[in-house]
Amino acid sequence: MKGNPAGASSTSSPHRRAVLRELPLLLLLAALAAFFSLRVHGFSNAVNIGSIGRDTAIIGAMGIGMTFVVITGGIDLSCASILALSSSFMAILMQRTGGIVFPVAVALASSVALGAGNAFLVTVLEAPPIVATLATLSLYRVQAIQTVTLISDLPAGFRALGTGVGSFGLFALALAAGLAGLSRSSFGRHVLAVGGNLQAARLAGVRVKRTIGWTYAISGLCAGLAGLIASAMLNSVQGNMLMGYELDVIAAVVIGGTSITGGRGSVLGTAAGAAIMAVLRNGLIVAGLDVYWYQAIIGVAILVVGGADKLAARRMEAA
Amino acid sequence: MRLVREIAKYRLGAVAVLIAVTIWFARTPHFFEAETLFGLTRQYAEIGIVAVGMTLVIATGGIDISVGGTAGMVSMLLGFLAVGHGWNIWAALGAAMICALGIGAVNGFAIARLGMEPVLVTLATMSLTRGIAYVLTQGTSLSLYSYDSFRAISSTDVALPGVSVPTPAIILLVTVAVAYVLLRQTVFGRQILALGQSEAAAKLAGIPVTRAKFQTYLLLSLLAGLAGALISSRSATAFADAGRNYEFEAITAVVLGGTSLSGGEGSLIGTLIGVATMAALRNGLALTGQSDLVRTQMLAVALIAAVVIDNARKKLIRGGSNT
Repeated sequence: MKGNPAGASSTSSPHRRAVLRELPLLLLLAALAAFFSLRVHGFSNAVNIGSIGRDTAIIGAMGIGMTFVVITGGIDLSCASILALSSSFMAILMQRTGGIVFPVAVALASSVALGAGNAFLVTVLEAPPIVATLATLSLYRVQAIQTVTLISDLPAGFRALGTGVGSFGLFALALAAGLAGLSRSSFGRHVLAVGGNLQAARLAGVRVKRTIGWTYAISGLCAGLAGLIASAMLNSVQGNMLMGYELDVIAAVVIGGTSITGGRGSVLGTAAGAAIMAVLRNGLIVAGLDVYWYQAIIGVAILVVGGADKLAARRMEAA
Repeated sequence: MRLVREIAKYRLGAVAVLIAVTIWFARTPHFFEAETLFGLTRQYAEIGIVAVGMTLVIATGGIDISVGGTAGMVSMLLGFLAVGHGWNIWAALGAAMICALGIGAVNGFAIARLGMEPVLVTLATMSLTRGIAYVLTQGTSLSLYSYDSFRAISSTDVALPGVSVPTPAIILLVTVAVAYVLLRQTVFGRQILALGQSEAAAKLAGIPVTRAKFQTYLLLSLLAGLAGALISSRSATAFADAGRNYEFEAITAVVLGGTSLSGGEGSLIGTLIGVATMAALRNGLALTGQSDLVRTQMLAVALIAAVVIDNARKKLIRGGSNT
């Protein structure tokens, strides 16, 4: 019922379908960008395009991790909170020691650990992903707010990560790792298999719980990475930074064509979805619309794309 | 025998947690004072009303995290129409409730008819409803202080023989009673429980699965809207943030009360006990001077604890029926 799981990527037709799937996304992205640059003054200047690029990198980096989680049939609502908390640890260390490498290492390590916390709740305590990560969404966020109110003026060397080149480099790295991890490694095949049919994957010898657990750790790591970009870009860390961005990320993943029921997903699609969300967020704000409109529009976007996906799947099933 | 086991395994679990929380805070001054308890009742009646609807949705195997947003939207619409546009407050209330039903219809249609995942759909409508609530007045709140009759809903008591009970508590008890009858005594209730057990089997048995699911989400959004109205009445304010964290508190109360997140069962009495537990926890934490932030964390811990208890219970029952 959920499509054929393992081995789906080795035949040619899903490949063609994947390309076809990406094409409308790029067209949509181009159309949105064209619309905003024609209608909204100041949308297409260099500064703004740079900020769209960095927004894409932040949402996209988190989205790559989220894609793995969603393919297993899970969800990670805590990603933006992990971003804030791991960045908070980093900022405190930077303030105390003045170093860069060690604080960054701590940020990444702690983001993996926080993701592992989700993995523990989901695989060992067997909490439904939505409930587990709803709980950690607020646990981690509150911890971040209690750890850091505002630390600004981060070391100059670190701020290079927030420049166009730096943030694009980090994002490209994550994208390459995500692409290779999903389609070229046995881990990626296990992730797809678990999401496609859990029982079949188990019978085929896939360590289901371990695979699922790792996806949450990866999502944590990606959030940590996005945190580096965000704090370098803002030149500050706040406990309440990027609150609510998990919705952008989920929307990017869903728009990118990853099925929320699991078993099917595209890292490239997520990257395109992230760019669409960044253009949308940015265009509406530059146009002078309330940022709250954007929140309402994300909701509609998720509903429309998710619904269209369901209808298309049903038609394919009937054919 | 089976009945005893059932009761022992879930209703009493919730009672035990309630007693534990109460004992933990028993020495805190003012914990049992009537005034505190009455204030608490008014507030937790709102959460309880949402939790009742949530019990039904969870019984179908679904979940709805848009309830807090819906409450916020109703609260803000009330102020927007009544204060901003000079509508009669009751007409405004009616219009706001119709919008709440609209959200329920979107949830129900996407989940029941299109077969979308409840998590995704209600996440989207959560964002949508909060967005609408903020957009209406750019986030400023509006005072409803001058509407005496509307404020009275939440501030008055109903005099029963012997005691006077806060009106919201009466509304909650009526809601529980209606939902109880609905779940236990009607065809609709049977359908909900059956489709929560196995949707495929229910469909084969000729149960109108789509309709039953749709109606359940519709009902929950209506109750969430009602909670939003009560919040506005109690605080005499229309504000976009009304109902923040309600999805959290309601789901925790339902799971604490022994309704399994995997669907197919629903205990309304358990939910009521779960809500009382949440209220006791809040009361204790507030009186011991804990900040709102800590309370939010405790809420998260309580939710995880509830799920762990639920899983343990499921294993117990499974183990029991195997031997």
